[in-house]
Amino acid sequence: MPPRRASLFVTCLVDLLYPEVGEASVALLEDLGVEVDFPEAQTCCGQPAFNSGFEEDARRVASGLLDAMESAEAVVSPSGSCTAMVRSHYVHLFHGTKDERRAEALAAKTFELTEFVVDVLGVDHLPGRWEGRVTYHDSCHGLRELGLTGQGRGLLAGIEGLELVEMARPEMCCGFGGTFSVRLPEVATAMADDKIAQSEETGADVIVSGDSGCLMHLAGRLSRTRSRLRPMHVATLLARARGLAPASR
Amino acid sequence: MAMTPDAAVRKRFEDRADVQLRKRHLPLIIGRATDTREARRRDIFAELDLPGLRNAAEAVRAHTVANLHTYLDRFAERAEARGTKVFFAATAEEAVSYVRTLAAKRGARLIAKAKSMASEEIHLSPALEADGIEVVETDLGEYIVQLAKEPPSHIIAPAVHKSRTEIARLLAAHHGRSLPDDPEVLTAFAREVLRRTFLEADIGISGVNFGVAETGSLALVTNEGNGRMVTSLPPVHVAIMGMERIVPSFEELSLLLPMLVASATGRPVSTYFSFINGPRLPDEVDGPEEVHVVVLDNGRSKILGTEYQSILHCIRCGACQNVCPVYRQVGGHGYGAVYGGPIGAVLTPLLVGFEKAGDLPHASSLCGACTEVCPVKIPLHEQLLALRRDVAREQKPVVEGLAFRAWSTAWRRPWGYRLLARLARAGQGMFVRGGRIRKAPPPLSRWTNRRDLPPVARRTFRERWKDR
Amino acid sequence: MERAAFLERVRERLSGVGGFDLPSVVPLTPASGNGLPPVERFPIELAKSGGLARVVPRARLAEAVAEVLGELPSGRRVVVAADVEPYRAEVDAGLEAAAAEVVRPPREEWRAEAATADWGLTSARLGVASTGSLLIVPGPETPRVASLLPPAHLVILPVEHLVPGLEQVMPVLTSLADASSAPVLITGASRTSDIEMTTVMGVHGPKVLRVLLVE
Ligand code: SF4
Repeated sequence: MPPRRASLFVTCLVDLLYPEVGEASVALLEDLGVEVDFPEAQTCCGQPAFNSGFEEDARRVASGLLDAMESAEAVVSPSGSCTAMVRSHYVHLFHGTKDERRAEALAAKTFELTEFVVDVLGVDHLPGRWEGRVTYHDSCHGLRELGLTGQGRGLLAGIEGLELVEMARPEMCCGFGGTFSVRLPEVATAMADDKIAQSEETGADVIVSGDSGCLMHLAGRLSRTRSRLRPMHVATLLARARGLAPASR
Repeated sequence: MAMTPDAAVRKRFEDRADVQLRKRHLPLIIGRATDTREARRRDIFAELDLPGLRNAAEAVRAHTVANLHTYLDRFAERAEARGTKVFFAATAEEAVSYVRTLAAKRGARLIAKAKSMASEEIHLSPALEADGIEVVETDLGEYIVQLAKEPPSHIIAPAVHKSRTEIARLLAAHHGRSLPDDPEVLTAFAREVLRRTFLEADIGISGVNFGVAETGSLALVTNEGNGRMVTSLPPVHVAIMGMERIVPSFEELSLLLPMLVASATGRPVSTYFSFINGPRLPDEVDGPEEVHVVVLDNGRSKILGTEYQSILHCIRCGACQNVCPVYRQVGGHGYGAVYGGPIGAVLTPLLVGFEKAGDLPHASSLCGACTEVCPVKIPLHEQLLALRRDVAREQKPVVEGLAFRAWSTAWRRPWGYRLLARLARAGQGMFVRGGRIRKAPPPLSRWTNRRDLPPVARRTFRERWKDR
Repeated sequence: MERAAFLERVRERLSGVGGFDLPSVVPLTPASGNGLPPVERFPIELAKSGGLARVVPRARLAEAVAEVLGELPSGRRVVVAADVEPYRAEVDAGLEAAAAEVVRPPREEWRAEAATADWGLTSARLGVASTGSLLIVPGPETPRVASLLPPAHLVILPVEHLVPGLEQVMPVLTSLADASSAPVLITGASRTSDIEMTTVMGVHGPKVLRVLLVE
């Protein structure tokens, strides 16, 4: 039996900047009969410090997440990157500390949203309606650390009226990379422009991804360059297509 | 060469990258070339058991490097028994001075060089040129960058950053004649001018792709044939070999040679695999009278026994460069060192030290594409991550350290997190226009100079959740 | 640095490193043999690398040699290596039919002759079916320059010398370590992609490679 209860790890980015993505995630899960709770002690997975080389600070923040999710049955997050942080890096981060076991336990029960829906709940078709052309950006950590390739696309394929068009290199990094995008802004921007050009070439009107980090970076560049391409989180699109969320914010 | 890499390494990656980014055509040329190579790599492995092949290749390299002293000893033993002179160079200086002394002894005036990353690493050519010797690169790509007074920008394709028009102009200017930008014509022209170099050179210098311990042989991989030329025609052949470039026996080469070539070019083999067993035998018609191998440490032994040991498994195929999105934008020269791209971002700081190259591990978005393609399974992006940690420990950057400490102090508890969120929301008011922030004060200006920033939501998710 | 000191430093650094075993199984590589008979596969693979091979019965070898030389507009000065001696009669007849100028240089003149010849004619130790490669083994009879300096290279290879894949070449290379200073595996024409990834044949080595597989 798949778990019917899940705790949402909303991630700091979604909590603070894109709350509607969190709401859409909850709506999707509840619609599938999952009882969702939100452990309020959570803050962030610690990735910014971890990726900058400050492991101790990462550990301080990450241990807060261990506490917050202690009693969760399953943890679901609308971010491939933060899920990968918990799943692939916590064990290393807490290696040799008193929290090693707890880190392993959390890693084992944490899932990215589309992964949870498809692989854990066993739902690979979500009926719904959405008019438009959509192109899909594989965010790197979801793709390479979690091995997510078909889950998000599969769910979109079930939406009536939605046309999925692949860009030339959907697996190529958009240039976000967390602190990378601030440390090397010019390189990061050039990478975003590459990604945007590829996406525009498809004629899509929406670029979808499973990570708000990538989307924040792309959105910031899209609005700055007045592109007509709209960025959207896969959870938001699915929830809207299923009539579970307001059409725009 | 014009660029003394030490100075180049000392400059920050960010500054070099910005220079490179101004060359608007760069991502286009590099992108086209590297995408083609990557597509061919995928094609050739599509029908094969690539995971199994990578495991096997990794095992060969891990075994060899873990037993390097034994295999190096055997290699030297056998090579010397066959008449090859083997010199062990602990540093770049030792290696360079060995070759300079040899060149002086032979009265060398002209040296023909085949592609060798190790000789780039020790800056051999400038040293020989300072002695009044003419040194000519004979790999077409290397020849082009030599004329441009630039270092190579890709392990396999040194001139990948140059357009045909630029190349035509370079060759034309150097030889004082006009040339069309047709690769056929340019190549034929280079063949002609370099042929003389091969025939007249006093010494040939090459790199080494693999040294075979069991027989003391050298394996050299080239497509143009210049490797065969410089190791066959001049009376003396000097091979510069990174000390980790060893395999136990020929048997392992039936795996590693195709893995190298297929990962680099998408073909199963290159045009020439030269196997050099030593100087010409008494009854042979031709070949060099002397063969020297310079085995180079130059910082490599420091890496042994650390968590970075596997970077010495690298077989220099360049596949990680071909898929790297940062390399694509800034090219090899952005890295300011001999090795660019992911392999360089890991190897350079380990070889030259964090003081000079500590920022290179940050020249990556950690997308992991490199790790995915590496034929010997080096966890490149994880090593970049580990290096960031080690660099931070060694350099203790004050501002960044304080910032992360303040951040972790606040964010380790939900109330601190909420407080910061509220402060940000209160403070952002003056910057938000039309639902986004177009201009923010430093350090956030590093974001907003090129991109809009979303403001903290009027009601965060957790606030909305409370009111459900 | 002294070899001993150099190696001792390496040994010391490696002292805490665990042993890794060489792989016990190796899957098929891009250069491994497959089910196709070598004589069928060799020409197919060689063609992918810009060379041409065809199978000829010994009785028609002379004719084939003449045809190959006639196919190309290049000159007809041919340097002939002694390792094709077993086919002397056929080679001579073929070259004569093609009106070729035949040169069998003495040792000390090989280099100069090869540098100005249009064709180099040699045999090979092995042919590798999976890749279309030729193992050329320079020695007392075969100078290196015969397969290196002329712009075109013609190889006469008995079909019995074909092996399925690269794996079968390695024992031969091991056994050659003391017998030849520089065996070489040649696959197709000399080539480069250094200018905007455009493939151009004939950089430093031969631009033309023809192989006659003799039955
Ligand atoms: S690190 Fe791996 S992919 Fe990169 S050049 Fe070396 S072997 Fe090739």
